[in-house]
Amino acid sequence: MSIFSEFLLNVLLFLNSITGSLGLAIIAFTIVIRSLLLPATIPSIKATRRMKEMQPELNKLKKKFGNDKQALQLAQLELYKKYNVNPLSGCLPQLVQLGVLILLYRVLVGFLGNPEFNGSHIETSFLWLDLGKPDPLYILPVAAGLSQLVLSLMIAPGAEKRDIVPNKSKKKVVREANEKEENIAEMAQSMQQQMLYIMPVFTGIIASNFPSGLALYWVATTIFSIAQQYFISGPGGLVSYAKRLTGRFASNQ
Amino acid sequence: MRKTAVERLVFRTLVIGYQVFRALRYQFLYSAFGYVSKCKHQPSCGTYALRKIEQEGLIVGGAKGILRVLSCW
Repeated sequence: MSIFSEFLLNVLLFLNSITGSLGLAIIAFTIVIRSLLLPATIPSIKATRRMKEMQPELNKLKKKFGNDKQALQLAQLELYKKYNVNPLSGCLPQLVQLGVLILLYRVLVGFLGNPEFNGSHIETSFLWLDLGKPDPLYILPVAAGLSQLVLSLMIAPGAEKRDIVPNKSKKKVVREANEKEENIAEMAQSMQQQMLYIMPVFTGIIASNFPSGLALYWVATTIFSIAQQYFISGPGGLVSYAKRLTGRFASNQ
Repeated sequence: MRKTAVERLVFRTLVIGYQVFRALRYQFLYSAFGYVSKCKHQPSCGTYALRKIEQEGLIVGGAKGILRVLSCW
């Protein structure tokens, strides 16, 4: 684990020596990491977009094959091949992502808490910030929250699948139980909608309590995600949200 | 196993709380990496695990949940 920490730290220090500014180094650090991940993320985003496009055909298959799970899966796989989608889905990649994040966090916060290299102190001031301390003007936390909101709106449509068991059982008792679960799932769904707006607030609050270097990293990586998402999938849900907002302002006049 | 009302309430709360956690995690990882792998099962592995634990007890349910997660790579 510490090999990776050392490596990341060295990359950061190297960038610092090139740019001469720790702030620029952190931004460059973000860009480097995200660029290295592009070969993995771009195909996945494209695959998600294509999966949305083939949703109607998928539904037809589900109706056709109904209860025969084996045949359904085979037909699904063929459909995936036809559209050239690799359903690289699963829970475990998320664990890896979380691990990488924790590593990055420890490296950044550890370094910013005690910014020195070979015994000599490293300059932590960047524009109005002291990167080792929380942003006193709260500009970065607000930026972090706002960019998070923009990104959430862009990916919102169909972001989370309905987490329910299909309600096809013939037994009334089981069906009622499934209905209860569906109600819970609906409640969870509306909660997820609210989560879209609550999450940026949390992000802002957290960002305002950590060294601003970390907040800077977060803003940089979120903006990178926004750009990435925009170039591959377009503005997404942002358009309908903007329309609703302007519609509300117009009707208030 | 007869379930008490308290047990049912606890599990319902756990499931809802887990959904909240899932949503947060999704937004968070999407910001950080630009992509999040999605669960190909329905319901999600975590919800499935909670349901199985509720139905068949901690050990059996937990084992089934873990097996499902491992099959999801």
